[in-house]
Amino acid sequence: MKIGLCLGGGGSRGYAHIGAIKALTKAGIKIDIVNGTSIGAIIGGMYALYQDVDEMTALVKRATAAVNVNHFNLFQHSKEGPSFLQDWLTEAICDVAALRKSIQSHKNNLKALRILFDEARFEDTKIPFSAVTMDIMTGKTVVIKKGKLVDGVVASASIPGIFPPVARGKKLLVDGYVLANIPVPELRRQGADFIISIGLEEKPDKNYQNGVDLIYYVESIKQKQLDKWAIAESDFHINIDMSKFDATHFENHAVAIERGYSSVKKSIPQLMKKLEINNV
Amino acid sequence: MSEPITLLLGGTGIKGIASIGVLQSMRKNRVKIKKIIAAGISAPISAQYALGDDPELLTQEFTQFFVENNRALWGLEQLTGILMSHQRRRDNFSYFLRERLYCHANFHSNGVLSWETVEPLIARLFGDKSFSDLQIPLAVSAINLKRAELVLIEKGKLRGILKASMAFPGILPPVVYGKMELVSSTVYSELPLDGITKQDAPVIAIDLPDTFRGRSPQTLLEVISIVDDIRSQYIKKKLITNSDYVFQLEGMKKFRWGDYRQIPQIVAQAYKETNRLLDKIALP
Repeated sequence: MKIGLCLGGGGSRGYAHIGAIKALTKAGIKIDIVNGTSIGAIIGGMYALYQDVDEMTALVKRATAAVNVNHFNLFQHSKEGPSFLQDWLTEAICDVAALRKSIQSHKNNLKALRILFDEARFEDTKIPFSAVTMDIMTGKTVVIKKGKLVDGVVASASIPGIFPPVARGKKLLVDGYVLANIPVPELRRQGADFIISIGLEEKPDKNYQNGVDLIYYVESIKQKQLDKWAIAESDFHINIDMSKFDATHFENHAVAIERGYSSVKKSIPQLMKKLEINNV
Repeated sequence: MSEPITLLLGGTGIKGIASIGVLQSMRKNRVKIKKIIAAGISAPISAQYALGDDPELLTQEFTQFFVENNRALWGLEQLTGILMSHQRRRDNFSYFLRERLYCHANFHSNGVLSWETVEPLIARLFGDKSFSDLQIPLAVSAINLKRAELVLIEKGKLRGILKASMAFPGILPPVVYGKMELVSSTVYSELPLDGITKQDAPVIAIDLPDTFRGRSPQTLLEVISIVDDIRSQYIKKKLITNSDYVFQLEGMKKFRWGDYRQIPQIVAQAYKETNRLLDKIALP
């Protein structure tokens, strides 16, 4: 029986997946296949390639120190109201929004991902791994299983609007969160018999201050429904509470890893029972 | 066609005006409607129909409204995913300005338009009327922002909830309705499929398909717009199995949610297609 690990998206909150994997490994749970979306794909890819939590932690530290991947979150206002800089940036964002496909390029992401994966390919991983993306030309989820890990993972983490879509043949790929933030059905189709899925729970901010906040808030309601459908297909789902953890700050990886570890550790007895019932 | 049906009406933005044609066709074919569940601009259209008025009157009302408010609605039709080629974009500076205006308005307020533009129309059409004045029961779908949930309103004054049904995030500000703060549910799913209960059967859902995809987006706003649409379409597809009959009005693909200059064409197309589809099915 194949145990699959499905890692959900959520920006820098996703470092909690490293802690989650640490807890699963310590409990002696052997993962046979892994997939993920966005940061879930980054951590999933690293796990499939190295199978070593300490090495993964060290690489994350190195990448974060070497490259600034934080993006200034314009959608959050300071309590005192928008600063001059925010106002100025808002205007600049509106120019960009009407002229270009994204606020940032992939330059820094690619630098960081090369530190994590170098030239490794999907075919080099020790257990099967796939990165989940979405093609905006067809509106369909696309699962990447071949080629360079950096290329697959960068597409999976291309948050629409923040990063440009990645062209691959006739496809225009963006972050898989659009339809599959916790890609359980995709992992099932790849042959996983028992799926452990991990989601990064956040409570959306109801205190919207403008139309952009409002659109983002309504999208989070949709996200909740899409996640609910995906989780229903999982055999064991663990929600790591990542509220009050800013998804845009990647330097807080140690806090996220610890939260992931303690959260999953608590779920281990229940998971073991479920595995036993399923004769795994 | 003896058994009364529940009609499910929705549609994104102005495309929902197709409901006028659908209701005209239902009336012509003497389909008995026991209840209407509506979202978006279909809600005021359904309310008008449920009051016993001719839906055709609304075609004129809406056409006139958009002509009169052309300046206030500046750019609406171009913000609706009418994707342009690189060449046309280079030649069309106004397209840039309109997208920029939309972005600017949404960073500095709760939408591009204010209720001052739309409120007089709703007030003129429905005055002080309530749900209890309707000849056909109506349920209006919206999103309650306070609790992050979909709600179905079936009681009270019509004006407030009909406003809320059209409060499209990014276009119009949310509406305070009692203890709730409401926006249109069409951004979640074009059709209010969550609102169907067992008692509503048989249900006919009117689906207005879109063809947003297949062309490469050129700007950030287009990318976001496509992504949001893909998610709504996906939710609709998942939930549409709740209805007994789905009328897919394929001809609607050629219209966009901001095509306010094409209202008569949208209505005529919906009327023609609903007639054809009613002929095809044998309702119990």
